[in-house]
Amino acid sequence: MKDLLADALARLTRQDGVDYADARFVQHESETLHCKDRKLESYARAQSQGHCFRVLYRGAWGFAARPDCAPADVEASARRAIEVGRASAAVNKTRVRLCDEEPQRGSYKTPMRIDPFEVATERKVGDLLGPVADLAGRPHVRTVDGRLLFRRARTLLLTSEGTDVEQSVTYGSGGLKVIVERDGEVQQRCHPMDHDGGVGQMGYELLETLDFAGQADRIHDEALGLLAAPPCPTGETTLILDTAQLALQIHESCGHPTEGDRALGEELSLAGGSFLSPDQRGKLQYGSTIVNLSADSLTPRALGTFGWDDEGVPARKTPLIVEGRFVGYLTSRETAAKLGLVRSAGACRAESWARMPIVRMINVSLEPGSGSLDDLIADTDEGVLMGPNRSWSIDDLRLNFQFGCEIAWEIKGGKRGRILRNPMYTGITPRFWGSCDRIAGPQEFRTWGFLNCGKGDPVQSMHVGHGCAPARFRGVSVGAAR
Amino acid sequence: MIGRDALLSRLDEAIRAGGADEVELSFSGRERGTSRLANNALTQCMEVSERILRARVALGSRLGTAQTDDISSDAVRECIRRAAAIAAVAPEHPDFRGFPGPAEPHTGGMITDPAGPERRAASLSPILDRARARNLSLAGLCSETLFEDAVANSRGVRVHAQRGAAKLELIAADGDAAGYASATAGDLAAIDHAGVGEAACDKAERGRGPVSLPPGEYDVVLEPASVSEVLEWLGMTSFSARDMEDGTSFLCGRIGERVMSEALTIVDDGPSPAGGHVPVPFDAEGVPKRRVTIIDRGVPCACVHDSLSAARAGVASTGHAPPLGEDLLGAAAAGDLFVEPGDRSMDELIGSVDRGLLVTRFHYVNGLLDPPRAMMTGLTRDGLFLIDGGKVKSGVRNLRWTQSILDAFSRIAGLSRERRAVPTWWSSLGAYVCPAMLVSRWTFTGQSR
Repeated sequence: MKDLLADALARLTRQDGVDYADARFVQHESETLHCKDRKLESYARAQSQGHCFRVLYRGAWGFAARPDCAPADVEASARRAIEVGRASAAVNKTRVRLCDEEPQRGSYKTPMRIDPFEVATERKVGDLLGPVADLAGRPHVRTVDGRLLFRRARTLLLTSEGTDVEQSVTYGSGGLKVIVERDGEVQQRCHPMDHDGGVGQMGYELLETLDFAGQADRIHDEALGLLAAPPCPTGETTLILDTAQLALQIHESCGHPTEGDRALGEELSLAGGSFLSPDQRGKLQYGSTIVNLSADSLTPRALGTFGWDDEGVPARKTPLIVEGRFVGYLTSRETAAKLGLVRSAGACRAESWARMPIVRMINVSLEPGSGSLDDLIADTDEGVLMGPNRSWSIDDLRLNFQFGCEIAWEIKGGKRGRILRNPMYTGITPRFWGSCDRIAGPQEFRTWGFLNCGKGDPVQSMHVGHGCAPARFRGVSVGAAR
Repeated sequence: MIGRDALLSRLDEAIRAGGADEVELSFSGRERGTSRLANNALTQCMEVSERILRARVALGSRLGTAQTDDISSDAVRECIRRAAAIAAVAPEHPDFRGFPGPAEPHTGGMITDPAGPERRAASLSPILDRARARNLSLAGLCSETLFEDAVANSRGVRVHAQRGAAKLELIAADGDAAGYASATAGDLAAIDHAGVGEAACDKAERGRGPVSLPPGEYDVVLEPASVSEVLEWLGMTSFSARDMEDGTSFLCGRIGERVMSEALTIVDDGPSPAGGHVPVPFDAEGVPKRRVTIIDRGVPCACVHDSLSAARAGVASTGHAPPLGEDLLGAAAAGDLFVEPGDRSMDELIGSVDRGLLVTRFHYVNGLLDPPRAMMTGLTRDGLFLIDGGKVKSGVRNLRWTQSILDAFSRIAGLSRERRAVPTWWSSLGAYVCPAMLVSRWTFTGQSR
């Protein structure tokens, strides 16, 4: 396949008007298990492969992709990509330019102890069905869901500038969700969180980190606690976020607004723009001076880690917020050039062979401070501890957000008190991060991630990582979703 | 496109060679062309061919599933073998009653030759010129997709359909002001490109110099795109049998009880061409899509089922197994929702508001706050206007709202007689057909900055 793509790419690059071109060949493999109550609801294995060409023709992009990989198919895709680029170039008044990047060669493979695709089917079913069935028989349980997912993508990338890299990225996720009901009140509790559960770029050893059997008692007890709990009181108070919720807060209010394409208005057709406009870089105080956030595709075992992004930019770390000041963007080579940056942040990624790479998050993480979560609580006279996420919403410039969480605990006199149900909080991004006055230390730092961050049009799902330790915010508007 | 005879005979051959108790093969192929715009330029344009073949195998009531995009005979047989290997060690599924049997399917839609990248670019060029001349920046998407779907199983199901779907969505922007307009149809030739472009630009111009309004209760006229966003979340959180089983649907315990305005009727009707909807004849199990009345004049009636949930409930599948490749939730999905129209014109709806807001569309609605009460939050976007004395006045800065949709939709004061199919962002096929809606006392809870 490599020779076929390389030959087609070489022919394509020689054509008049072609400024740049790349070719990708990707093989996807996945396995998903879903257990409900005492049943294996579904168990599926999927495979997909295909190739694509991306061409910069007289400064306009063209892209074509197809699953068949015979020589005639590869030639047809290359031709089609040029036709698409030519059509766009005839309309556009400006030309795309790419910032420089050295050609890359090499390979990357996810480090793992147990290849999840080599683990016996029976073992996987047992590892998931056991804890799900255990929860299903408990008091007031309406339903229990358990999910496991493993994915692998093998990618070959060749560019007209000489880049030739191969990668094999494997990651997984898993989670439990129990829904309880009593007297018409319905509540849920998940481990470790709803949506994608616990995630990691690793093998089947992920199951050991999830410890389903050891967490069943806790989530059932907390779910029952929610049924009897009072609603979260409304008002301004001190808010401590656990790492699962803080990961989504980072995702929505830092990750997305620092995407260079959003800041340039190129994502208006779906997700929106960003309040972090280019003129604000280096000037805007985004948060308090203890807030440091960076984009880093080198973080071990995180979902946004790789050898190279999908245009061959090597993994690297780029500061986004330094001592509270907005300093950097997530970029591709195109957006970096438009923003006047010397180099890309290496954040140009595609969902699959069938999608054009766009600016995506990699691992956007908050640097830890000091102390434990218990220290943070002990240092708080009055407030609320919330997490993990249940609902999320943020405006098209990423300023006004509102998050609902599964559970909250009252904090009084430095102690964690009663459970509060249907908690939610709302704020304006720079004010909220400006109120951050303490972040717990490295011992509490945890890397989370999301498998299905949606962006682009047609929409693309992407797996991204977020690391953080619990953090405290002052004067936050909280309430109950009722 | 492979074609009916070639595709079904290939699936037939693989099923005969499958060697399992029961085999089901579902195929979904797409030829998609998209031209994406931003800053008055074509930014991301693609021609992509994709397909999925799913094999489900039953050994007694033990089930296994495998998927591939290689549809050579050997690859399809291998896919069946992989599904059978899972089924061989899977526990029995107590709800499985066999794959669905044959039923008379609805007829598929028509397809026309796609415009292709050159004609798409040429048809967008004058719209871009017009936006430049008006000092506006245009973003959006023009897409056309040809679909080919087929299902065959060892019980004799043999269904096939081809159809086309096209959409044009545009946002014109100028600083604080923006305007959105869209259209969807079976093919791009049926879409009035200039009309959509002018509508988006007119809205943006009208919204220049927006005023700030404090949060509070306002009477609102919701255009079809904003009704569609709320409908989408009602569908995702409450209209599937899964939501009923979990007890999280607002329909739970309320079937037969009026919970919303008598003016509101919501149906899921895949085969319907009403309002510009592209008909969908059957689901991924090959079951013909049935019209399901979910809310009848404010009264919850039913949810949608796939074959497994139908077996659990002791009813027939309604043909709502999720599309291949879009089955994230793994449960029956209401993907073709319609709100029945009213008898008012848009002008009459606006004219009946003394002081309120005209809402073009919503942004980032989320319905997971408290699904049993249909609690949702969201923001306005791309065209929020003050209505004063029955007339549309200035643009208004965006606002956040948070409320129970059960409460809000109990206060529907009018629906337009005209309906529009509004494309959904998460599905290349789905569109919801909605009228405009006048709702009293919509609860806005915050300003967007």
